[in-house]
Amino acid sequence: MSPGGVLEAAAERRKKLVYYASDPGDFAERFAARNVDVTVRELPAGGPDPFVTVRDDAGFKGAVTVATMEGVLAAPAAATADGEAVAPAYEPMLDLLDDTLFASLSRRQLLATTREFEDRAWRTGTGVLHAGFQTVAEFEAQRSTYRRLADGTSLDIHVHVAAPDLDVSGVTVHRDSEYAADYWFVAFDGPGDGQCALVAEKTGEDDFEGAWTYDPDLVARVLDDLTPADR
Amino acid sequence: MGGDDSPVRSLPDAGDWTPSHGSGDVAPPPDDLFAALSDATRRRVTWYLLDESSVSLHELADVLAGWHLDDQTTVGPDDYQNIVAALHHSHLPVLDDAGLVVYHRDDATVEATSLAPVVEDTVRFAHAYATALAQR
Repeated sequence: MSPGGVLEAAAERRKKLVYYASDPGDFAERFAARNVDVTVRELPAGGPDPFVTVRDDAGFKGAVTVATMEGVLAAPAAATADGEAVAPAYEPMLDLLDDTLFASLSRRQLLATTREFEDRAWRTGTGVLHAGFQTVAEFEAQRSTYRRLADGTSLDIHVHVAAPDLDVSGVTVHRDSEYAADYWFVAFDGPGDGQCALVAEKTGEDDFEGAWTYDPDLVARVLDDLTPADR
Repeated sequence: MGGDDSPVRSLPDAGDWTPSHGSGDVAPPPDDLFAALSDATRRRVTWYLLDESSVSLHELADVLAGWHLDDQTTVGPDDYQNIVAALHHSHLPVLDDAGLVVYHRDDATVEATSLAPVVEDTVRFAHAYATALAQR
């Protein structure tokens, strides 16, 4: 089970999306990274504008035009590159597709999303931040970021590492972490609705399957799993 | 309107069709045909089925939901249930009675029938006319 069961929850919440258009183009490919199974249905010319319907196990969830959805298609990291937590265009589709996003990601994309969550913690300045590192070397590459976070904020920072030795001043280090050995993760619990978590699993040399969520309950489960019961 | 302003230039020609061709001869009495086509949902359904042999009730409802997006940003579960209910209780029985579709209630599928060419043209005309008028 991944931290908080995030990857498992993402699989469970997977939606079915049907894309209707007279010219399907590459829409399905562009959407394949989301937590949805995409089916394409060709519409005769003269029909409605291109649109999608979304269903889950309980049935029909909603329909929106592709134009409405366009804003959601950009990768989250790209959409948040300007520092916005979530681009406004996301909102309607986050409601429809659920706030758990699931994607196949490269290391670069995973890093970008991780940076976004760390940046969110930095800007918020208070709360709890957990991050996992498979090796000491991976942490060392981010040490300056975490020193800055520890010195410049009142965040309660926890670093999990799948190694026996690591010391970071101002940071609680969880050594020999099994979660860090198996998963890439970062989770932040800030004031208000500032919760977010990313959990990813390596599937290839440079390939990961990751889920990230802004669902406070799911983030709470992640933090619960990452916080040892005896402390 | 009329003349060069007409939104639809190609009119069906009933003279192209003579009854009793065998296949492709579904030709309802005019009152039934035009009653069936007197409603936007039924015009869309008959038009959509011209290119389909058989569709599920839910696919048909999906496509109608797509048209609703001309006027609203999202179609939610309640809207969708209304679309399905109206198809099931009202529109599909009317179209079935007119012979324009066969509605299989047991497995919730809608089968296209083989329309006489002039009826097919009329269905295309009704759809094109409504679409053109909406865009003026």
